[in-house]
Amino acid sequence: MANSQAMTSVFKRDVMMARHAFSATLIRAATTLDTFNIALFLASASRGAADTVYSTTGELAGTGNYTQGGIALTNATAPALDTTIAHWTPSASASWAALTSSGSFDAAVIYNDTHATKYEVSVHTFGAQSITAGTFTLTMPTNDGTTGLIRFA
Amino acid sequence: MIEITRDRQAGTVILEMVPEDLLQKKETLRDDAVERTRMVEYCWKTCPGTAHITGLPDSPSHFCDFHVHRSARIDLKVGLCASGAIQSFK
Repeated sequence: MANSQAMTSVFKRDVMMARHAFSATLIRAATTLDTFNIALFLASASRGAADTVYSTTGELAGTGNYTQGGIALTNATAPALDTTIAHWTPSASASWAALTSSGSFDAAVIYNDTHATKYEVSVHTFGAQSITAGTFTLTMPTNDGTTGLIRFA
Repeated sequence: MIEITRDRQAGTVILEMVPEDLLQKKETLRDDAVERTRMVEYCWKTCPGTAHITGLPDSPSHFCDFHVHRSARIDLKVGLCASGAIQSFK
């Protein structure tokens, strides 16, 4: 059997689990998993791949039962491998009740709320919404290597 | 009973519980490869509707923005994937 150059599949999962540190490590307050928040952003905002940390710029105003900073995602399922693809998906929907959005919004940002710097993870867009006195719910995709919310292929 | 806005102007929202039979209901469904979105809106049956729409930038699909209850549920079908190749020594 010949050797084959490869990045191991399990490495991709382990990066999600902070099992490697290629630079000086962050001082972590605990060995437990971090809390990841999801926050809603106006259609007029400019969130994207160049983001580094969460900020309130372009976020829905803290009115109408929305609190800036968003809400914590339920994280009951650890990152896993689907053959060669690492994936992670929140284990429950994100929902805001009795919400009146301060404007039309079309993006949700996920960031690390445990770390003081609030490192940003991802920006997810969807059709623009404007909620009035209602409930806004984001249900999560199937948690596998094809559709999971965060995947490393 | 549905909680709707009785008035909404200049950032002011006044909420009111209203019997459902006094309201008209509109459902909108968008279903594509990445999301399935179901929007449900209620408004007074007596509301003049289109008279309110003009000039309201935050009301993409409704029949009124002064008396309304609007909810949405988005089912995300697929997330984000980061991918790339490792560098060969060859």
